[in-house]
Amino acid sequence: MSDRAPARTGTAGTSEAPVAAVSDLLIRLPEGPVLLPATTARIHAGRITALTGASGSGKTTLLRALVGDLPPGAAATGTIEVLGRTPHLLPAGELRRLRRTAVAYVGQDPGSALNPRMTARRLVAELATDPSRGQTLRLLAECSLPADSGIADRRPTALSGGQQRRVALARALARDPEILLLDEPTAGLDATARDDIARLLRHLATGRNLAVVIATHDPHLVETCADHTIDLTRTRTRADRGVPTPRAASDRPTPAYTRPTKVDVRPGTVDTSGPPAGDGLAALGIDAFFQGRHRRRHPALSGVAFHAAPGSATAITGPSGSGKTTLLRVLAGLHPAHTGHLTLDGRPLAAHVRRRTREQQRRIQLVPQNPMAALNPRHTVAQQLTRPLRLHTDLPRSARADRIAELLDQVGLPAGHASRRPGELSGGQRQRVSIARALAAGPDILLCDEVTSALDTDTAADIMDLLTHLRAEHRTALVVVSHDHHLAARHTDTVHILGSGHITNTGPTASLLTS
Amino acid sequence: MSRPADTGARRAAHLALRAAAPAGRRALLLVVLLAAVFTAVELLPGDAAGNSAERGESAADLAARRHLLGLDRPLWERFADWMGGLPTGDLGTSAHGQKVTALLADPLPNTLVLAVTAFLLTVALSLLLGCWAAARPGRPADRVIGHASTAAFALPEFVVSAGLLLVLSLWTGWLPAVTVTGGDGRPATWTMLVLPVLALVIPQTGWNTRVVRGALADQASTPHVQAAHLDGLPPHRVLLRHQLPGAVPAIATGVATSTGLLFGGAVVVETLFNYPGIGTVLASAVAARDTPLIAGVVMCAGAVISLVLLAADLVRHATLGART
Repeated sequence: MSDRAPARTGTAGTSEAPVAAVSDLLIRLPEGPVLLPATTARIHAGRITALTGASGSGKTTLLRALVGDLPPGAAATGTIEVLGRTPHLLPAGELRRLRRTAVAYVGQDPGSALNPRMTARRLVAELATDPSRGQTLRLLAECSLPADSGIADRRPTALSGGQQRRVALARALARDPEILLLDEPTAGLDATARDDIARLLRHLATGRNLAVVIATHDPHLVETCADHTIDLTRTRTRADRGVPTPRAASDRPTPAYTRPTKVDVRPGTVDTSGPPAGDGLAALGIDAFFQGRHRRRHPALSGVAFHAAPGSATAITGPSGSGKTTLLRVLAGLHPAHTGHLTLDGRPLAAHVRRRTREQQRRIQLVPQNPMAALNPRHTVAQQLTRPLRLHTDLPRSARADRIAELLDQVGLPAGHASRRPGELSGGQRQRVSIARALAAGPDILLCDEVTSALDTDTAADIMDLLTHLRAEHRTALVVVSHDHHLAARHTDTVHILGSGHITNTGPTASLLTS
Repeated sequence: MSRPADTGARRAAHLALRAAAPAGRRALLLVVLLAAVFTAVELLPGDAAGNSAERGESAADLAARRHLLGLDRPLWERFADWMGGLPTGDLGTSAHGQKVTALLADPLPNTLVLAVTAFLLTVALSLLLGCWAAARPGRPADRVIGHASTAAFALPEFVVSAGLLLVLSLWTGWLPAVTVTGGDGRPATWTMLVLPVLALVIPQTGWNTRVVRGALADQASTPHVQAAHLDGLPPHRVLLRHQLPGAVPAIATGVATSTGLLFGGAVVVETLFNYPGIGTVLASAVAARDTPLIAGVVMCAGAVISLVLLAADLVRHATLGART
């Protein structure tokens, strides 16, 4: 494992003893896959260390090993030392104290990691060394959640993905830790919020002399803020885990897994063989709300008009909390608390997904931002994919296994993963299962909410190529919520820019986003 | 896509409507239940006139009694008559000519005391045992509580009662074996309540402990509970602040369901301990085919159970509502 020389010297002297160090740490299941290849790393106070590597390369496993949480049944060889102790060998009480006071971990899915029944303020105060109201609000403000926004009194379900991420960060900082471990801290954030986070991390590292470790796919973040990079892909062997060998970012035309030359999305038995007739999905005058405490209603969207024609590709961008996810959920029929009109091919479309016909449900598929919450944790990948096949296609039972293997191949997962459960997959792999599930229905309109934010650049590009291919082949309309302007510019024609619930600008992606 | 009710009056009306709809549905359910009770008693062999007849009564006397009790009228007419009195609080007249409300005035409060005490004790005990077990998953305490609660739920009330009587009354002599009714129609001393309450609580605690334990186990596997452990929060805090609130809807539903079983158990237990409650009244009323009295008992028990279920639904709605 390479331990590259620091790109920038942190304020703390590099000669100081590291606050955490791992050497030749290898984590694997007995007789099973290697979860983390032998890794050596040193983490210093006052510096930001970035863990990079393809999705599934063991970044999360390493971060969790640093808080003493090994996957069930996994064995670790080599040494791991955090503040002079080996976390996973500590007695329960001491490990708890270490987590509670010194080492904070923020997972990549903060939406589901925050208790849905507690307000942001209580979530932060629960772990705070000083749980007073003023201090809590100050911490939230430090994570760019200003006190006057009223966010402190909302529950996580009334926050956007980016806001949830910042609440989780404030919750981690509340205990005044020495080491801060962040899994994908910028996934789902727009460029401005991402720069804010980078600045904030830098500020924390130097101001509090905090050791920050980030696992990330975001080359921009690594470039702007990491002092020090550890690349987990370097010594990967393909046989280890049966996942695609990650490629170097510079030359990506040699995918290690075979992408089918012709992508057949719908099984031949689906009735709509020709391009869908009509004028696609349209929304007019959408006002949407969500409910806060004491039945207070916060506006999420006001007066939004939207249209996705067959075969079109539309991007929705805007700052965190501007209503992008809510708009997708309105279109998908999952956020019925709204006024306005929805039509599909000119015919009225019910606001609530359960009032829609089976065919309408099939035609509009949503890939949500948070795959952990969208996949049933008790079902295997094959079971997750079987349901849409059973509901929406007349594929015979015997042909389903082949179709599942084909779908997994399309999203770049080996067929062997069909028997795994979501807990046994990495964040990026879960996202791909979620995409495969949406594709299984053979949709005419695919709504994608930040689907590539948890994926490394190469996999993200492959997924977007696949979606673009579907659009060309089957006239599938794509609606993509993304903060990645480059990705949006490359794969979409039209862009809607949202700002606090209004569409502030609409136009061709090429001219609006590249300028 | 309904536009929100903006004015206060409209909002209040909307709220009242939302509370009234489930209450109305439950009232309708109760009417159907009472109709079923009337039909069931009719289908039993014999009738109130025959069962309350003295030895050696002539057929003519019997017919006269039948006419007096209104048994010669069609079933639906008697049912409509009885239902008609209901809004005024009139539960009809028993086969022995007494007002049903007067017959129930003493036993109903007694049963309520018995059932409510047993209910509260059940809730407290099963929350305590369920949380205790959930805090030690897979460890001996969890396994012992798991097996013991299954065994307790499997025991019928009369077996529990017999066991309790044997140990706490006959062998040790600590508690009275039989309830003696005082002059005011209530049990003479509070110690007479202990055995009947315990006989009800033990099986119900078995059932509810399993519900609590299961609901907490479901919550334990949610990402936010696992994250709370990774944040180094002490286990009791994770259990009470992160696991339990999510488990409340399932627990409320489980506990509410057991009120029906509590009332059913009360009939058996009251008979065994000679406790002066509606169970004893109901047993003798069925033997006498005394339809108005049976319907009165069912009406009261049904109303209480409906109220508890409504409360459970409101709890569930309030706690689930926190998520949206």
